[in-house]
Amino acid sequence: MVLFEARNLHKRFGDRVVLEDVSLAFDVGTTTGIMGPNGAGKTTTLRAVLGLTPPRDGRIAFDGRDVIGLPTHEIARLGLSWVPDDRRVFPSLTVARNLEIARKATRFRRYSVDECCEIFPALTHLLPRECENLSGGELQMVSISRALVGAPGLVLFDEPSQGLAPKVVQDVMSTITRLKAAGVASLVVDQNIRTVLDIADRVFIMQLGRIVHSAPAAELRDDAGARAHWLGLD
Amino acid sequence: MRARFLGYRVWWFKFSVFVLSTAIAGLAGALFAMAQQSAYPNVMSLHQSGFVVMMVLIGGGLASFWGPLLGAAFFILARDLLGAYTETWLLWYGLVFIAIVLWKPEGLAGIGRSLVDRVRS
Repeated sequence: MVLFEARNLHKRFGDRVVLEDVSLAFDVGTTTGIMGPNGAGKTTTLRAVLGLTPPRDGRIAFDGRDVIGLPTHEIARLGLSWVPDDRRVFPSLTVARNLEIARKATRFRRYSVDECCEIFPALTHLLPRECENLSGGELQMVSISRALVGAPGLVLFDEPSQGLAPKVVQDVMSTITRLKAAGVASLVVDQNIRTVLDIADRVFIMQLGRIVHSAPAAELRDDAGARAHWLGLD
Repeated sequence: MRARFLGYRVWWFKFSVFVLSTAIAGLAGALFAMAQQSAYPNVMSLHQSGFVVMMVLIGGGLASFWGPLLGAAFFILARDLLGAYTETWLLWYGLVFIAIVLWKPEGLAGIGRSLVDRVRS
């Protein structure tokens, strides 16, 4: 079942084209990667999905509903959660409070704080601490947990491995895999190409605001020639 | 923005808080007029409004819910105790205000919080 579909998205900032004819679609419980160099339009695509940077043209449907023109809070209430690259937690609030205010009911399953603590055991002793005192890895755990308590059908991950230690990156990626097993779809934008190829079902490669290639992740994983051609990797 | 992507209609909350706070301020004004059995334009003067802003900032209204209450108590104490000794009590109160804004913008509530943290650690 198609959970998400974006069709022919266009966006300009002045004379600069940031999204041009961007189309992508994926099913329930799949992991999709968007890759490309800086300025390719990856983050703008995620922001367009959330209504934070509305596209000039195009159509976006989530869970059978057209979300173009809806305000961000209504899109979020449909079951879309965001894990931004700069975490954006409330620094003066405790971890527990950050999770509490992110709870919402959608038609998808809501994770409890206990389940989040099971996914990230380190979270248990962080609950009473203010977020301004946490490390980057700890903040990422909070940010992902906050997305999960919001009952998502789709989680948008923007650079989830940015600035994290390899062990934490591994934990984050295994969480995305775990979500997939639970039927939650993920759209992952990351510079860490190998990591995305390891967890994604399908990848879209963007350059200068356009999707220039789309393929099953396994195809790029197994074909060194295609990897070198599209991603510049050996 | 972070509240919006968590599903909150931010402008509605801001509007509601504005309406609620102005309603409470209106109620306070009405009670004040009843207590004084009079109402004159000078209670809405810049002078009076300045006192309220100073109470909030000295108390730590930027950092704490109860800060303005502390600030109001501090103002009354300064006016009644300091004012009993000198007519220039406002000068000293103003200097305290400047010192707090410069060195402890979280106000009296922030000073209290720092002391509690220091005792705990």
